[in-house]
Amino acid sequence: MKAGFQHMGNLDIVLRAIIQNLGCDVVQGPKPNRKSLDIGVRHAPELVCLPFKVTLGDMFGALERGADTLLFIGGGDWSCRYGYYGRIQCSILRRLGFEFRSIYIGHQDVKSIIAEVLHLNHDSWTTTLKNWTRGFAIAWHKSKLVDQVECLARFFRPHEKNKGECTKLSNRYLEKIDKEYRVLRLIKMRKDIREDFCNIKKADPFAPLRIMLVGESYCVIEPFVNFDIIENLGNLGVHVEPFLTTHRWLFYHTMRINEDRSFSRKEAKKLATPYWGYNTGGEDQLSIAYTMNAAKLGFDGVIHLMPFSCMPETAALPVFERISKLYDIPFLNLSLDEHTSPIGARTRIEAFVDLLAYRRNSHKKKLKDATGV
Amino acid sequence: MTIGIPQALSYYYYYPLWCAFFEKLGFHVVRSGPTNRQKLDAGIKVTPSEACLPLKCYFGHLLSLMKKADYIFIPRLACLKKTPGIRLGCPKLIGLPDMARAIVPEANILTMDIDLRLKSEETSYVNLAQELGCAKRVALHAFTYATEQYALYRKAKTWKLKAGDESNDKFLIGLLGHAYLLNDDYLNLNLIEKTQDAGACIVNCHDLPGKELEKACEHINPLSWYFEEHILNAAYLFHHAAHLSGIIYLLSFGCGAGSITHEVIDYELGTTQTTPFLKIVLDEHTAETGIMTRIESFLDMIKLRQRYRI
Repeated sequence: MKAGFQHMGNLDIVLRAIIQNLGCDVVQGPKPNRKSLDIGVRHAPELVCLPFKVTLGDMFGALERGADTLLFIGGGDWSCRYGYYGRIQCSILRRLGFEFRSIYIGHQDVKSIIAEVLHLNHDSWTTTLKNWTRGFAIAWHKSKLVDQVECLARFFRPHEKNKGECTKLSNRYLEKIDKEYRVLRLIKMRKDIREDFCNIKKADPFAPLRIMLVGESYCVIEPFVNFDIIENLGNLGVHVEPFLTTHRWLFYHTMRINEDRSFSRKEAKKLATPYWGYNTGGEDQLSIAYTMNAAKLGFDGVIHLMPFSCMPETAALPVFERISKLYDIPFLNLSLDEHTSPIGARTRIEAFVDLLAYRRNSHKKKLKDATGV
Repeated sequence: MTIGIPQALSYYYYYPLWCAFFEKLGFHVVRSGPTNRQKLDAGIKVTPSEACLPLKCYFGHLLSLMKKADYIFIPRLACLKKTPGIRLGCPKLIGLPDMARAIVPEANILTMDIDLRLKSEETSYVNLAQELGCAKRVALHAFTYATEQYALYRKAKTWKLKAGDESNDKFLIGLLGHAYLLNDDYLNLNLIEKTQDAGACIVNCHDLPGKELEKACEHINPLSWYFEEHILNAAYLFHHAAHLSGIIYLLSFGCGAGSITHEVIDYELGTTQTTPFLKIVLDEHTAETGIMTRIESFLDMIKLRQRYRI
């Protein structure tokens, strides 16, 4: 069995570890690029949102490379269109003449997934449990490491002396993590990563601007869709904090578990409820809570990423604008689709950063005038 | 005390129920009146540019009600059916009261959550009445009365699709879409009347009996949106009605659920599809002439098809 699934940031590194350990080969399409997007756009319904088109292109690529089973994430009673992705992509690909099996990974399909995994392991519970534990352990450590690399790269990028060094280092480590399948080695790698990032040549210390990234999960996590916004902002000397990362999305967000002890889901819900009482299916309520929290934590601004015509995020947009006014935090909305030009998005982001820098300086000046220090 | 109900979105589904309920409780109900250019323009100004046309229109209605009513009634339609599966409202309907609070902070908004996963419809309505200062007994009575009235209204509207409805020279066209598009003559650019003038007889999918429709369409893989499920079922019925000559599907640009529904209609019924199908996407820039041209050519094609018995 050769399984293919969608890309999303560094999700492939982690999922591949689990699936391969369960005795199933992984065949994935190329990482999202212009070509795969064009294929997705050609076959997808015209008015559907961007992640649908990109993931359809991924699935197409996987099938072309010889996958015979496709894994679709999501499905079921969702108010957002994400719940229908698998069902419709499946029918589109079948109509194009591909032959494959489809497995939906969702809350209601647990039984069939377990049956499938059992079948792969010769119907033996012991082998299944052994393989699953091993796969999960490796995936967990890999995911933690990927998260660490991403986090350190985000943190040090504004401070690096030679531009691009952090990206180079993180790419090298991501490749290394992808190839490593021994848990002990993975645990050891943690220290190396920390040391290597700390040893990067730094420019003179300064306090970078801090921006919170909120919005739809796919747009925040997938660098192809958001034009490498995290890297670009880092190169502009900004410290970026996305509200979701691949690790958090996979192990916490999809299972609806808390990770962040300082800001739990319950707390987030409580904070957002006066402005947005219901979670309408996407990450709208969480995004609103994180926007409010960012204002409290003293972030300089918030960038909101969403696919064009995203249902929950469009509905929540007026609420974001109101919170931005009430909490006095600058807010930039970027709505992305296949026609958004990278240059246009970059110009807007640069202008936003300039405004934030100006705002911070004028605040400082006001403070200085008032206190005389 | 007057309660204002904006004449858009869920108004077209539930107005008789709400009106009977509030009037029985002793409140005065005002409507914002039919849509016009001023209302739509006012709505477009305050809503996000990506929102769908009916939503923009809704806020125009809301703004026009500001001076007329003490309270504006904006319900939250979160979960509208529990069995056989959960059926939800679209995210814009779920977030509507919160959006209204953010866009028009000065409005007095009266809201109620209909979420059958948490509590029954009756409890929601009774709680609302209690919030307005009515006794529980009165509220219960008003709710029973309102549901009865609503059932009567639905029954009066119900239109059975039977062979023989078709008169000799006219042909039957099924109309799919949300009630707030099909029944708002300004938003759909008077499409129904014009199609009728062009010589067609229209069957509105919202005049079909809901429960019987569900029974007939049990085997279809359902959608988890409540209003869209009705459209899907109606599409199924239209496809299988032999005396129906064509189907027009009306949706608004930026309607997320619409894009999925159209695709599902396409592939669920794809193999049996022989009825001509026209999809029209509306937004605030749509020109009347453009739509008319498309309708006329669609009707011409149907006439040709019938003449040559294709």
